[in-house]
Amino acid sequence: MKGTYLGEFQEIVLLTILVLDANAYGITIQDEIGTRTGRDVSRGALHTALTRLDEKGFISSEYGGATAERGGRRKRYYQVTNLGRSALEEAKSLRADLWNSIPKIALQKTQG
Amino acid sequence: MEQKAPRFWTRLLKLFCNEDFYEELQGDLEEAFYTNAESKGSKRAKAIYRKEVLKMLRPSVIKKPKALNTRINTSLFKLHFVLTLRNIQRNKVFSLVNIFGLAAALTICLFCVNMIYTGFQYDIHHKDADRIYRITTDVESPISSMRFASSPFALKWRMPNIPQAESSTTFLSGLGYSFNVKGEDISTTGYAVDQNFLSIFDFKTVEGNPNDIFKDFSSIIITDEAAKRIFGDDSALGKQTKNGFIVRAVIESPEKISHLKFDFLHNIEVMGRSMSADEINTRLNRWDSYEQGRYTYFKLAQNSSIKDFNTQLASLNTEMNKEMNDAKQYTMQTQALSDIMFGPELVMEFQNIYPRYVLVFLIVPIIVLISLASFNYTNLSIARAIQRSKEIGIRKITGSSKAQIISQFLLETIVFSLLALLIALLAYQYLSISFGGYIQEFSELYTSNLNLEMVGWFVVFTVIVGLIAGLLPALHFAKVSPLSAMRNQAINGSLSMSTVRKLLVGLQLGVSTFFVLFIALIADQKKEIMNADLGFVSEGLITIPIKEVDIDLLTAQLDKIPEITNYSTSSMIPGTGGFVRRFITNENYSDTIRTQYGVADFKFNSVYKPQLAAGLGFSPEGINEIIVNDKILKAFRLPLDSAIGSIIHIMQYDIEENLEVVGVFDNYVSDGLSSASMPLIIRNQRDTALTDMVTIYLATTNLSETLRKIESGWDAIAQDKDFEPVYVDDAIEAGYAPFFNMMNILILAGIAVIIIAVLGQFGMALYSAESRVKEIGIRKVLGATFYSIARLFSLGTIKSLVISGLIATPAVYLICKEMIVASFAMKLEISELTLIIALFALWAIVLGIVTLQTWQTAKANPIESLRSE
Repeated sequence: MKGTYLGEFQEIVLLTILVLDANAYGITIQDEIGTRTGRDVSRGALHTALTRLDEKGFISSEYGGATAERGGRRKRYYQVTNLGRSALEEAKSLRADLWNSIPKIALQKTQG
Repeated sequence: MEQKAPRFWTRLLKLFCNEDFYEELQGDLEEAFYTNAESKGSKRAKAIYRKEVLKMLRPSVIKKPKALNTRINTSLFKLHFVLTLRNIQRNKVFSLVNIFGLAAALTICLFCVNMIYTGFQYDIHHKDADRIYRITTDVESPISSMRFASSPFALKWRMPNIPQAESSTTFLSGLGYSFNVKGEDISTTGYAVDQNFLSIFDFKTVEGNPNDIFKDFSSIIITDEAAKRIFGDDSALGKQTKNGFIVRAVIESPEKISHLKFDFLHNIEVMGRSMSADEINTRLNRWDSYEQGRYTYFKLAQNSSIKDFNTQLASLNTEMNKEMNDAKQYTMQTQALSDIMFGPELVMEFQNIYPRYVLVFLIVPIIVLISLASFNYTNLSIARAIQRSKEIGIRKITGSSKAQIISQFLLETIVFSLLALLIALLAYQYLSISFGGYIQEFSELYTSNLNLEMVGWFVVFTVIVGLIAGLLPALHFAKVSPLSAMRNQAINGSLSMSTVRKLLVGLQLGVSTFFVLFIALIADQKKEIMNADLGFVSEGLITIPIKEVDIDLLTAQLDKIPEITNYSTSSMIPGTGGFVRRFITNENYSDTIRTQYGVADFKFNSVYKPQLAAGLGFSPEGINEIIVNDKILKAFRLPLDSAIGSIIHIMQYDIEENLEVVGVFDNYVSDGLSSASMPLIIRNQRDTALTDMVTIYLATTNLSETLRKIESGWDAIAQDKDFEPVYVDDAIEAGYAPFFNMMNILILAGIAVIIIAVLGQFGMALYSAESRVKEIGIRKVLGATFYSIARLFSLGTIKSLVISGLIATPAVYLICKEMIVASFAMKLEISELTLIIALFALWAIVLGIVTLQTWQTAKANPIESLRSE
């Protein structure tokens, strides 16, 4: 396991998997990220992120059944592990902490 | 869903994608492709697919290269090495046959590699050698086209104006000065050069300052090699030539490092020193001097391209054609310095340059010998296929890949060829002592001392040879399926291996038969050439070069020796050329021809005993008598019976003399190596300028005693000049040396071929006898005699021998007739008897080997051979 640091893109991928719930595999994740963030992510880039997440133990995966529309190739479905969930929580609370510590005045947009 | 995902990109993905991810990733891409194809059209979908595949090229997707682990590789290498050593140990005969066959081939190849290497070493030592070019001249006339290595002298005045040429040099070749050392003249040849010559070409300075020669007209540079030849260990500085030029510097000789060939360099300005500027312009600055030994070289400027230079040269070509204004078309071209050696054949080329066909001539024996030696390896490996394929089967079952089997075989042949190299190097060292003399014609291409770089090339060459030799068996065995190998099944290829083997054996036998016959013929021809009727008697004659000793003093000495009954002075040794040229006209001045001309005194008749078709030859006091050959009669249309007494006029320096024909040669060969004989006259004269030999007839039995007497007589009058008598027979034989040198290379190659073939036959015979031990045993039990077994075993060999003989004999006959006999002046016969004897000798050797092997096997007790399974 490499470090447990969660990168920004990796965080988005994790959240997307959770959003998709049972239907999280390569194409749906790619499309979901595309529609939600407007980012055009290549499948290869997504693969790299998924590999990193897998190495860190944040996600697990299993093969689904073969489907005709993919030339008989199986889908690999991804789930977020408990470790992944807690990493997300941690990241969220870290952010919330940081948000809360910001003096109100600093949040006002500066003019000009 | 009619659309398919692009196949190429899918394959590409499969190629680099880690297998663990391929199914998922390709599936995803394909799914996306179909969705895209519906929503965006197939063209767009394909583009996206392509882009996606390309974006897959990232470390997380690409498969980890397998087996790049060096530790595994070295251990495999070690295993293969051990296997090779075990194989050598187990199959000693097989290994020895292969190693010695390869060694025989390598020995000859090393000489060829040496010569090719030496050739490519020429002119690479100059600074910026890749920027040096020569200008050559193409001359196209309606009837002929020639490319001269030389170029017009006018370039000397044009080249400095071409910006692409950093510097240029024009020099004049063919200068000849001589030095007089201890009363003996030593002649040297050289170039007249300008100052740029020394900056474009790098030759190390040994003594003095080379640039000093451009300060005046009376200074020259000589090479260290010339200095050693002329002055020995004395310093050459300050020494003078006979016409008073003083040596100011000594530089490294261009011998064997450059295509340039000179003993000395002189200032080219000497040509125009007594001319006015106008005269220089009209007499030297000319375009028609392209065939007069002027050469132009230049160094291309650092950032210019040769194309730009050629554009500039094209305008000079236009100028040249306008100036020449004749029916010919002139084109000057550039030739890179590296293209000169082994380049196109040019007119007026320097003597030490060998054209491209020589390179071919050197590569052909390499290819022939290496293929033949490789055949041996292939043949013997295939012959042992069954035993070997079991080994391979086991290796395959235990998980060896194809590549590993191939690498094992290649390693094996490389080890074989490296062992062969060791033997070849020994043989090379042994032969190299005499090799230089053996191939005088090519000696400029031969480096006699081995250096480390060349040994390196030998090793590289040997490894390549090993790879070539092992390739076919390696591929063959790698294909073996483990199951069939274990079951002793033959392997079904597209071409049956035994057919390949038979073809190779046949080819090998054919080539070796060819060489056996060829060598036999050459040896026979040599004898024939030496005994050929030259139209005079050369036996028992000794010629002494006179070397400026007074002829009358010398003849007086000779007269004092009682053993000398007869001698003749002459300007040449008959049969070795050495004539000068003269123009002659016939009696009524209607015809002028060029002829070879020599002088001899009246005893020429009795010493050389020339055969005369008409006339009686010289008389004692007839200084205007000549003997002519039939070419003269033909040129002047003189009938043989009325030729005697006719008059021929000879011109030399505006002096005309009338000569009377007193004899006509019958079949007189003046130079054995020129195929067509030239017009020839020999005059009854003792000419102080031409006569430089005295030929003595020595009938005595006590030869050395007589020679000693002559030498003491020589010493008394010749001061310290050396006494150097030669046998006329030897001189004639030396004249044929260039031809025999060429043949010597072929003979060396031929001997190697025969050794390889005989070794191969030996290996095959041994193998086939061994593999049929049981068959022989059964035959013996059933009552077969040794004779019938031997007949059975040699039948196949006899068949291939006869076939190869049928192919090789006519080939040899034709080649000798068309190429060898045609290049000699005398009539030669090809002896069929020699051919037949040589053919049967080879057959006897091969059959002998086969029979011996069969006998070795057949003498075993059948009980022994049949007992064990």
